[in-house]
Amino acid sequence: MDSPRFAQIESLFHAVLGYPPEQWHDELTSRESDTQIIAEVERLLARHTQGESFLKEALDAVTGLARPMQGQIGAYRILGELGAGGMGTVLLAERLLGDTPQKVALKLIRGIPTTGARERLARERALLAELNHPNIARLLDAGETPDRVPYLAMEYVAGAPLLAYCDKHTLDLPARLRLFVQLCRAVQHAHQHLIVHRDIKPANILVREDGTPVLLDFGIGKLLDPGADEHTATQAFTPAYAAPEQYAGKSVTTATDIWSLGCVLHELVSARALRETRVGDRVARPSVAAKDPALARALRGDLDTIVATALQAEPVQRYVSAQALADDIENHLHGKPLNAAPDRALYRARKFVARHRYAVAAAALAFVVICGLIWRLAIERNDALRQAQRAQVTRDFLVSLFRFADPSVHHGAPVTLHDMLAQGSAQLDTELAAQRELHADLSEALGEIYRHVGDDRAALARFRSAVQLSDETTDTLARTRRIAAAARLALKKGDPEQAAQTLPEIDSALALVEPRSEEAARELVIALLASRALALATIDRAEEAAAALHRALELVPALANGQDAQRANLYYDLTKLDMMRRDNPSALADATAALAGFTRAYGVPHVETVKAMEMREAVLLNAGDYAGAETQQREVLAVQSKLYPADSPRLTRTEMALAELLLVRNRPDEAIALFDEALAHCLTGTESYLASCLRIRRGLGEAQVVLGRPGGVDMVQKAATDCAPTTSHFCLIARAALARANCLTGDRAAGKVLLAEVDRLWPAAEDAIGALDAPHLARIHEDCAR
Amino acid sequence: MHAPSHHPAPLDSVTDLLAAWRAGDEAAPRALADLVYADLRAMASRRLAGGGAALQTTELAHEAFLRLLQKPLDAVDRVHFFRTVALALRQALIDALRRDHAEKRGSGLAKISLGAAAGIAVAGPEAWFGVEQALGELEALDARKCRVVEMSLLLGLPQEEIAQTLGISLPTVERDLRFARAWLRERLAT
Repeated sequence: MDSPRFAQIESLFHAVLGYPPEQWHDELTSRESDTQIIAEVERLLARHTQGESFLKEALDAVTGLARPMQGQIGAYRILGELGAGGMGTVLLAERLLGDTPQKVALKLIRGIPTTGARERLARERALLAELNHPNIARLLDAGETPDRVPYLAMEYVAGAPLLAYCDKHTLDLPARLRLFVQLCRAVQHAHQHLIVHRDIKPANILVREDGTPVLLDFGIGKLLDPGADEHTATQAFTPAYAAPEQYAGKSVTTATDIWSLGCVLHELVSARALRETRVGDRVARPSVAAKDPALARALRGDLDTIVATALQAEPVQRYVSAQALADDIENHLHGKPLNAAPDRALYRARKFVARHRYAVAAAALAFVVICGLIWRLAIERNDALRQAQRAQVTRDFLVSLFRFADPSVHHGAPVTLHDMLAQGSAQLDTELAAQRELHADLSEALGEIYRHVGDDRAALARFRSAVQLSDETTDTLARTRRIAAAARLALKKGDPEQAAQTLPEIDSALALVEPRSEEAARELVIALLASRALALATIDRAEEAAAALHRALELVPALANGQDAQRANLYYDLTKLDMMRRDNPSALADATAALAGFTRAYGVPHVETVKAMEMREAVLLNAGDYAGAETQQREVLAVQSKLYPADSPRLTRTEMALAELLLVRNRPDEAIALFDEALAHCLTGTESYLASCLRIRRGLGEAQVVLGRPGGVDMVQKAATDCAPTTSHFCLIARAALARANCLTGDRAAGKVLLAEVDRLWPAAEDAIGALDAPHLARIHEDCAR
Repeated sequence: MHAPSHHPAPLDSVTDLLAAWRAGDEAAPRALADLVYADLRAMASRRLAGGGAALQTTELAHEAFLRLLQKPLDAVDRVHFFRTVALALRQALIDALRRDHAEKRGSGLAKISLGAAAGIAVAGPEAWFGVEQALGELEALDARKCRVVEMSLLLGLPQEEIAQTLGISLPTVERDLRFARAWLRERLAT
């Protein structure tokens, strides 16, 4: 079938689909005369009525091929799977250390790929570890699997899910409410530690046999959300219990948890999920949802009000805290009047939203910025009094940001995060000019936010301003941290001028922080030294760059756990510098160390490890150790075939490079086998990369020439004519291969003329010379001289 | 706060590759596919390490978006990226199938189950070979329909999002799906 015919069939299909099936034939014949087309459309219409589950079934059948595996992760032996969801897999595991095996829930976390995300994970983890509440499952440990998947070991709670527990023990309404109050208290405890759950739902609440409810997965949602630090909500939420702001991708705050608690309360008291019963945006009323008339009567009034207040669409209209929600439930249990008066709340909500549509959205955005800033200040300052004072100023500053979001100021146009940040930056510089240290702090925080949203230029400007605002009275670590942040961004582009300017700043920061002995200072020194090396390498001062990396290496404890990757990265950079300096012995030693480090850190089948292998192979080639290079290249090939599909261009390139090496090593037979393999993949690859195919043909032809096989000469001839630019090493080798063909087939004179031409053009070749090009040419010379 | 590691993680290159693709770099789509494929495989094997859970393409796709994308994408990049993930998923499924097939052949257990009524292979995973082939043909006839089916079936995107991503109207997505499903079903039956 061709496309026009296909389009015609489709158009007829849609045209008659709306008619009753018995009229289809008549409608078709009135529109089309070609009986074949009519028959085809009728077949499709018949298929249409057969439903559409077949695709899903085929998909499910093929995905069912997945097979389970057993294993061990770190110090934990896997016992089974507890569950899997959008966030990760939860395994039941047993800690192997110690006398009594301890059961834990091991949460394998997806979505933490970048260095930045790992840093955040570490910070959040520290925060979560402080949560110590009988109704919150504890975070016990964290680590990474050999293939770099982060995991969290949580306290394993043996219990039944909330709703199942209540049903099994046929708990009455007051008992259910008392259970719920305990949950609110737990949530309140977490909120006081600035941790938002983000995914409260009945499945995340287990009740132990003794009746204690336990909340699982506190704060895990945030760990998984790459955007959580700066603005919008996570994708990792459960639709049935997610607040409107989560759907809208807006800020997630403690009010988000209040919403989810409202959903849980609704389900707990009415035995029906909010989602099943709610129509449109109507106010949620558990009394309406409940099927049992007696229960409905008990819920009418207070509990309707409490649920409705928790489930206000606008976060600011909900209970101000989980404590307030718990208080109102206790008020109800004790027959006292509620704090949330129904009419007032609803009235206020409607009025407020109508008046301040944009302000509400912008305020929600700003709230996250506030939380981030206050939190930063809170953890970095231990002087309580100063902290309070600074927090006050910070709040004032942020309140002024809200004013910016006021429609009367902003003429009602929507306010974006970028607008707010720009406004914040401008305001910071005018209003906080007198408060130097705070000005610097907030500048740095804004820089971090800009860096996370990918605006490097604005981030650099903010970091620089933070540096300028720092002086001798500033905390040394804060000051150097600002310098390091600015330097790292300034060097990112590889601009020599920038590098030259940044270097003295890095050195001054190093001078400040090197005498310090804290762990944080040591980390800063290592980061600064790595930046120093990068700056020096950018301005071609490789010797000094290498010295900086050596100093950094001395600071990373060689045997400490988890430092392997850090050391390997430094060795990897060092290898590049050794190669710049043409120091082959050092390059080999450093490449070997990098490879060993990555292997220990990540295992062999890993992209970083392969990268180090490829680097080591390049070093061996440069040093002329072709046997060593071959061994290394074969290892690269073996590992890549585990990591990538058979026709991956990476594999093809490696096969080609190995074949070329074998050609130079005078093993044309083996080279041909690999060239053939590479050529097959090159030709069938869905994207064409013709240059590589030509190069593979060049080598394949030459190998066949050496073995005296037919066809080789033609292939070499074609490579020599098709290649471009003609004065590249690549083309010159192709012509030299042609010369080799002449020499080997008896026309030595013609071969030598061609070869002399290649020699003449060789020094002026435009492209970078490949490590194998010179020995390759030498090998051809040997054949013609014989 | 500033970790000493100054190497970008390999996955950071997704946005770079998308940019290169847009700038006309011919090698970029392939490199991106490599990257996504390797990532999907890693995710799938991690899932398997957990024991027993079947590999769900929509979940893998969702996870791929979360893992690989550090920033929101613009419209052009979204189309490219969804396309890449869909391709990688199709590749992964075919690879799994081939592996399974080879193993069964080795143990003499190969069998292809056919749904008698519709003449469609429904029960066995081998049915997917036919779907894959039919998708390839659909793509040649009407590439957009193939995109719509991929996004709906493999990536599990809601129709609104498909419409938004491809820059077409919601009714068009519905029509495309309706026709493509009938066409695929007919194609698989014959």
